[in-house]
Amino acid sequence: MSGMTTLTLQTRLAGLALLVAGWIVLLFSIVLLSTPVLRYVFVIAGLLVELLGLAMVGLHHRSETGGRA
Amino acid sequence: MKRLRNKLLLCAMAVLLSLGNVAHAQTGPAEAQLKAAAAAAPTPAQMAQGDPGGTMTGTINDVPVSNPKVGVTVGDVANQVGQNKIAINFVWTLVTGFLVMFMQAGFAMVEAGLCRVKNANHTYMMNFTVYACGLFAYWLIGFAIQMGGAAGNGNLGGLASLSGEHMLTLFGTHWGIWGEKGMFLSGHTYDVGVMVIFLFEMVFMDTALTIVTGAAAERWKFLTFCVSSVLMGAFTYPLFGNWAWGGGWLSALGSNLGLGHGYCDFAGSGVVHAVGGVTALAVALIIGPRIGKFNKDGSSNAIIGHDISAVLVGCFILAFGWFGFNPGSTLGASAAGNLRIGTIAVDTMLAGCTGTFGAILYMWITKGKPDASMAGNGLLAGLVAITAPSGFVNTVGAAIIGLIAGVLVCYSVAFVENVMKVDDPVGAISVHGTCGLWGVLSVGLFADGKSNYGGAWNGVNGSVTGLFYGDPNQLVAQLIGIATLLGFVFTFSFVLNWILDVLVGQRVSAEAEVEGLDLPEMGQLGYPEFIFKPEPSFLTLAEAQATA
Repeated sequence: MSGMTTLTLQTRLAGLALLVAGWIVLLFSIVLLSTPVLRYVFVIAGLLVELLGLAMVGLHHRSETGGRA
Repeated sequence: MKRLRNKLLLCAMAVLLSLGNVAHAQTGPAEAQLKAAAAAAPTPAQMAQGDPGGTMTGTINDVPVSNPKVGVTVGDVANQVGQNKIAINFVWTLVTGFLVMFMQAGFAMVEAGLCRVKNANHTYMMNFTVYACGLFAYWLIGFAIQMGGAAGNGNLGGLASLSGEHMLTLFGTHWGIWGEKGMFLSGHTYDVGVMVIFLFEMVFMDTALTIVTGAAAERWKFLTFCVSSVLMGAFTYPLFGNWAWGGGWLSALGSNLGLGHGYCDFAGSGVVHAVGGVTALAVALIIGPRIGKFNKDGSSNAIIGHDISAVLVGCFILAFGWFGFNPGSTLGASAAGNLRIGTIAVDTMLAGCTGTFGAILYMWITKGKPDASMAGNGLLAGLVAITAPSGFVNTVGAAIIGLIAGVLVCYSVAFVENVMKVDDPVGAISVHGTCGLWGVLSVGLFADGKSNYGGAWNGVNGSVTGLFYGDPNQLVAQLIGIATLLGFVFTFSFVLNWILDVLVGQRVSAEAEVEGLDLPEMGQLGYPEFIFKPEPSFLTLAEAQATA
């Protein structure tokens, strides 16, 4: 925590926000859409947003780990 | 007028008498057979002679009678049949629960064996203490959140007292969010069926908790571990458990939106293993790698565990416990399609077998040797992956699922270490997280539509059927489950443990880590009479820099 810069903190927070956002997009899509194809598309899209968020959280972690010997 | 009334009365009496005769004719033979069986039953004098062949023990004499003057009636026999069904299911669920509880010993051996000798006591103690932390939190509130609205299980007598699910109504459909009955197992939940389901669900929850200790081993502050485990057992696990198993919204995706049978997770690839795996990832990201694991250029060093024999024996204990995990998840052995327990057990064996093959072959081909620790992880990966689909797939599907998991775990371990730069000493994130997610997905692919647990699953008639057997909608439900594990469970665990990191700190001091956690954290060495072999130079150098 002590060595965390504002930029890396923002990356981590943005990653967590994307994880939640992807999940919410997906939840609303399955309730609001009734076509199976559209549901598939939005479920995959929501998952991709989540993976982007996970990658950002991981990116923050990588930037810290690289300097830890 | 009076005559007519009398005639009508006479007719009515005649009809009633004739009906009574019919009823007597129907019950008569049964009562007569019961009397004949009672007459043929062994007498006390015969029983006093002993029954070496077992042919006299267990007769009509053992059926409890409601009225001794009348003797055994059809009603008495029916009551006994009903109680026998519930008794069989109680015993089955309890015994399989005991097997799952024993898996804690396997986890302890695997994790401690893969850690260095200077942290053995600490690692064993985490695996030991997580049982108490988890059980306490689950009894306090976790069980109520997860199963407080899970009434309606006919296998265990109905569980009618668990009738409090908090529902959210959206667009005319109802979605369960959390359960509300069963805190402290008090009030109406002081019930024999509720106690059985509590024990069984509790040992599952504890399995999820103990996964995290592996990923954070050799550097996790013991106090923070205890608090983190209590929070996970009280909130993180029960919430997802409710959504999948307690009548929550994931299980209602089928009945509300027509997505197959809703999210299906027979024994917990998602609920138990992926929840444990993604929480392990969250904690490992927050806590950071061990000193000396990564070099300044980002390359990694192998930190070898101290006891491969403990690892492999631990894996076998886990595989044994898995026969409680998967077949036990029918919650019964009698009625409602529960005879499928044989198929579930064989599926479990097969996936473990092919998982081991997958990992050994992968390591042999790519590294030149069949790596022992990865062989163990391959076995576990196959078992983790088959946990969700074990109740819905045939043996060929199980073998394929296990084989893919065995190879997948090898890729995942390399990815987590070399690309994500996450230090996971035992491979928990890959074994339980990655392969848990694969198990959840595989239900949507391989479920063969042959299972029939009482004719319906998650309130949808028919059998769970995956994409390869004709139902593409089931796969959508499974993907939503995966998205929830990543989007909700990971984020929730991350924020919870981040707050703990800020408040009390997740990591031990560099000095304690270098010395080994046995003395600084536990006050006692795991192996006091051992002479430690000096650490490799890359570690001693890194440790000197860290403590300087």
